[in-house]
Amino acid sequence: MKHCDRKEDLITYLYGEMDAEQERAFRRHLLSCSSCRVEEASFRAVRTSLQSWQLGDVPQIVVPLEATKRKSIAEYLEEMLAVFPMLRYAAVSAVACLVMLTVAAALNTEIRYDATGFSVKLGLFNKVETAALSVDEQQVKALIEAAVREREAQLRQEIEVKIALLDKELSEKNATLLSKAARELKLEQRLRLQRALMKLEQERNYGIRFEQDPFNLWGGVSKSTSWGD
Amino acid sequence: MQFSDEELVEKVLKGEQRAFEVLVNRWQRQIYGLALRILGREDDAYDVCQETFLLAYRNLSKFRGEAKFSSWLYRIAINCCHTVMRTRGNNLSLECQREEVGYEPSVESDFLDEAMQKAQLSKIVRRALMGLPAEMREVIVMKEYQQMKFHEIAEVLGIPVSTVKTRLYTGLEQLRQRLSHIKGAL
Repeated sequence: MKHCDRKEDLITYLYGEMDAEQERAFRRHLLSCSSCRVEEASFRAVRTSLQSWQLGDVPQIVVPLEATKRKSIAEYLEEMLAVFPMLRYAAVSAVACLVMLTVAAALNTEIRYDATGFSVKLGLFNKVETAALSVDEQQVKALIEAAVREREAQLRQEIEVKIALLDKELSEKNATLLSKAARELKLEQRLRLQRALMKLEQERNYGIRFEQDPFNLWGGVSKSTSWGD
Repeated sequence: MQFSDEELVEKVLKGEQRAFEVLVNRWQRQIYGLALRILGREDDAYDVCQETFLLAYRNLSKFRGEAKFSSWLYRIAINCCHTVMRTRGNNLSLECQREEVGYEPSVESDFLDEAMQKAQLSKIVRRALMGLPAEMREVIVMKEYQQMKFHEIAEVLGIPVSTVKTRLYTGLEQLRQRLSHIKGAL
């Protein structure tokens, strides 16, 4: 049997979804196409068989819509407390603390912990002198200027003392250095004199005349540069 | 007065929870039937049906009315079926797998009365349908049992109409072969 390629048309026709014109055209095709005719018949039989599987009683579907509702904060808290009962005591304690702190704040209570220890001062009967706080502007200016002047004088004094100390230290260092330099110079002059005396003695003993003046202690060139006869 | 699906959806969105119960009662048979014929197991079908309505309720505000409510509901149901099939790992239920290797009853036996023959035929058809690949089974179930139009099936499955027809043709062809040995069936 020759196969036909009008499968989609066959299916559309089989389920009655063709318009009237298409249906007429396909019926004409069926008359001439044995392949489509056979397939159409067998598919109709399959469809009939499929209808033998019918649904029996369908169970009532219970949809837990309550589970989809958004819970309020209070409901969440209620659930949490049911799971963790200890949270209830913690919550009560927290609320009590909050109330106590609020009352303390309202009563102007001062709680302090410092080097002197822990102290609580009830400010319920303390009157705050607010009128004394009104000060003249000129007075404030004068007070500030006086404070600045005082601080300036103090700083100047401190600087002068530091400079004097530095001066003293510097002069001491200079004196030390000078005395050291003088000592070294003296030592060097003595050594030169000793060397000169030794050379003179050698000249006298062996008859050798040095080009350099043995008494030229500062290293200059002597005028008598020639050997004597 | 009978409200349309879309009117009921409006009512639910305005806070009338009772309207959703009407929708559930109206569509539970179709959704259950779809799930049962695709999955082959009653407990799975019940779960899918329940999950479908729950998801629909939760996402009702996303239903824009561009498609029919039924198409939207079928799409959710099909997705739930896919999830079950993925979880199960194969397309056949254990019951169907047992049936697959079991004795093939004849529906033309003289000893069987008409009711029993119908029951046997139903069982054979059920088994033949379960033996099909899932994508063909879905299309056949939607067309044969839910009486959906081709374009509706295409919309629910998100595939072209031509693909729907091709799957239907191939599915019917395979069913014809599977049922060919039963004289009473064909």
